[in-house]
Formats: sequence, C-alpha cells, structure tokens
Amino acid sequence: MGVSAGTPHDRGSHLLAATGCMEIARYHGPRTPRPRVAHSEGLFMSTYPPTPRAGSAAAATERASAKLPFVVMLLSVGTFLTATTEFVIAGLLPDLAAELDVSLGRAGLLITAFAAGMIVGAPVIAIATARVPQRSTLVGALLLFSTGHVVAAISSSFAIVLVARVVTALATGTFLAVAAAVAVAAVGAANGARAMGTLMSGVALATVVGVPLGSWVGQLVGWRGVLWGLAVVSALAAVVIARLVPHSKQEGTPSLREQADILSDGGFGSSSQPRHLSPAASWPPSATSHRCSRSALACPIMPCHWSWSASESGL
Amino acid sequence: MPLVLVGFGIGSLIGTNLAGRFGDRGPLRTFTLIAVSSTAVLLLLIPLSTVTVPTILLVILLGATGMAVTAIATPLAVRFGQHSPSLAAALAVSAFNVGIAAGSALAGSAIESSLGAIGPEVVGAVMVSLGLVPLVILGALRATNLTHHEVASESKQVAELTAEVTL
Repeated sequence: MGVSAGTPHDRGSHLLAATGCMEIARYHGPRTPRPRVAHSEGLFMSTYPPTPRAGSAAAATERASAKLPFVVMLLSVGTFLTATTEFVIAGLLPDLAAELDVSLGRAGLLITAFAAGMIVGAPVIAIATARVPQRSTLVGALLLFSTGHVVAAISSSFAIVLVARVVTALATGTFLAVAAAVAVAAVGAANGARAMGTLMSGVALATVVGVPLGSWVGQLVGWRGVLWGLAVVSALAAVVIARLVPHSKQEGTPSLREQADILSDGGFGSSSQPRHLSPAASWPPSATSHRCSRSALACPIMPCHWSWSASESGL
Repeated sequence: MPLVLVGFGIGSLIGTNLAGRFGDRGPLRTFTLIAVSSTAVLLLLIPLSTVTVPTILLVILLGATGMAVTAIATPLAVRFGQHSPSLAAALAVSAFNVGIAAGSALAGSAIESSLGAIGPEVVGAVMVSLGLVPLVILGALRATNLTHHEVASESKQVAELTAEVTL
C-alpha cells in the first residue's frame, strides 16, 4: 500500500484542515487493503503492510527503514546543540568561577541546576504545551534556549547565570522530549529506535566534536564567547526548524486531567489494544484526533500498532 | 581524561545507531542485551581501571552500551504513551537525568568512601544490575499483558544511565 508516497500524505493534511480528523481515518480506511475484520486476535498479530504472506515483517521493516525522514536529521542538530551546552559548561567552570568571583565548587552548581532543570522541566513543560503544535514547541524551546545563553553570556552576576542555566535546561528538556516524539512519529513506531538512534547521535557527536570544539573556543575567547556562539547557532536552528519541520495541529490533545489519567496504568496500557481499528464511537474522541494529528505530521503513523505488534511477536 | 570522553562519545555514536537498527526488530531482546553488557563492562572496569589500554576500550564499550538505552527506551516510551507522546518522551528524558544526577552524586560519595577509585564503577554496576530487574519483570509480563512496559522502561532508564556518569 502506498502510504509512503508523498501525495496521499499531503492530501491527508488537507483533509485534516478541511474536515477534521475522523475524515482522515475514513480516508485511509478504504484505500488500504486492510482486512476490516478489526480487533480480532489474528489481525493484531499480523504484519504491516498486511500481505497474504506471513513472515514478511522483516521485509516490511527493511522497506520502511530504507530512508530516514529529513526531519530526524534536522532535529539531531538540535540535540547536538543541547548536549553540547550541557557538557561543555564543565570545562568552562574555572574561567567562569574566576570571572564571576565564586568558588569552583559553587560554580559546579551550574551543572546540578542544569540537570535539575531538565528533570523537572521536561515533563512539566510537556504537559503545559500539550495543546501547542509540536513545531511551535520545538521553535519556542530553541528560542528560549538561545535567550538563556544570551542572558548568561551578558550577565555579571553568578545568580543570574544560574537562573539562565535553569531556563536553558527547561528549554533543553522540552526540546529533547518533543524532538523524540516528532522523530518517532515521523518514521512510524516500527522504526522508532532507528530514528531515536539518529537523534541521539547528536548527543554522541556533542561529546566527540561539540565539547572539544567548545572547550577550544573557550580557551580562545572565554566562556562568554562559547555561550554567544551557542546562542547564535541555536537561533539559526530555530529558524530552520520553523521553516522545515512539517506543521502538526495538536487540536484535541489530552487535557491536563486526561494526561494525569494517561500516567496511570490504564492510559499507557490501553495502547496495546488496536483501538484505532475499533469503531470510532468506542474510544475517546480526544485520542482519535490526537492520533490523527500525528498522522498529519507523518503519514505512516496510522498502522503503528500493527508494526509494533509485528516486532513484538518477533521479540 | 578528555580523550577518554571522546572515546565514550565515539562508543555512544556507534552504540545508539546499532541499537537503533536492532532495537526495532527486537526491543526487549536488545534492551536486555544492553543491560547485561553494561553490567559486564562495569564489572570488568573494577579490576582493569588501573591499566590504560583496557580502560579506554571498556570506556568506548560503556559509551556504546550506556547511550544505546536512550535509542531504545525513548521510542518505547513514546509507543506506550501513544496518547501523549511528548509527555512520554519527556518522562524518559526526565528519567535519564534523574539517573545522571543520582548516579553522579552516589559515585561522588563512593569515591570518597573506603572503596576509593573503584567506587564509581561499583555504584554503576549495582545500579545497572538493578536495571535488569524491571526488564525481567517486563519479560514475564509480556506473556500475559503489556500494560506495564512504560513503568518498567522508565525505571530501567534511571538505572542504566547511571553507568555513563560514573566515570
């Protein structure tokens, strides 16, 4: 089935805008030669794309994983920047401590505060921005990230640098979380690990290239120069991502209360049911539109349960 | 020391991409393999950390196994947190950082304890082995139902990520 082609995806997006999500579900439905004998055990275990021949899961995965979408590469630039700033600061501490007149131990608080900002910031901001389109959250996070660097770079007070780093960490956690969600959605769940591997290559490259480069720049122009550099590059990345990441509407995302429910067993667990194959009335409309909003971002997302089931059975 | 970190980075570059390849075919199998090899690498580091060449090789391996977890655990979290993928990924990010913070704090105190320089490796090995517990439970649960994957993979991440910060 030609889900991977660009055109149906575009048409799907238009449909989303024009007639809402349920139309997409119907749109995808008849086109695909999927057995409509939904939610039977046999279907759940079947491979995707559903072909008469069993055991084609591996072939299907190969086909689907032939090429990673550009958006994944693009987002890994962001993870490179966030990881670079997270790790490069350690090497800049002696310089920074001397200039801001604090002890090295106290300056080390910047590392702790950054980690704390990511721990708290990532889930809190993910909940707060659940209704914001993912692209806007990515761009907003990068702009906040850039601003945090600028504030730290121009500050002469350690307290302000500390606050700026916490804000930067909030932005970092948010970016990583949304980038992971977008990357996995963009390739479909069956290739999620591969997309995530590419995304995390940004982090690995940060330790191999970004941090040594940052330390070298730090020795040349001081810690403020490194922060300025990261501020400029991340602002540029924000512009590029704003232009190139496909827009996805988050309409109908779960409310705060629903998200709280998701955190309990029921929410996560229910995803093991192929609910998108069930009659629409039997599942919450919010979940419907949310899943569809992801399919607007990336076409092959619809059958993700199928692909997952296929890889599950091959564990 | 910086060169060792570059080695860790090269290892993680290889590890995340390999894990990405194999993680899609058999997530649980790959996850368990990573956890077992992380434990093995950390245990080997305890006696070998005084010898330069093996240490560098082990650190590269540690980078590969430690960072590979992110490539598997995060998409798992996103899959099982379907209805709110960003929140699921955010919890994964959060869990990794809890591991980094707790791991470095514990390793820091271990270095000052009677264990000395091998303290961090011991802390890492213990925490990564603890990470195997949810994986085993997860494997057992898989036969009956799939509802606890998320919880398990979250706690797994916390333990696993401590491995890399112990150095």
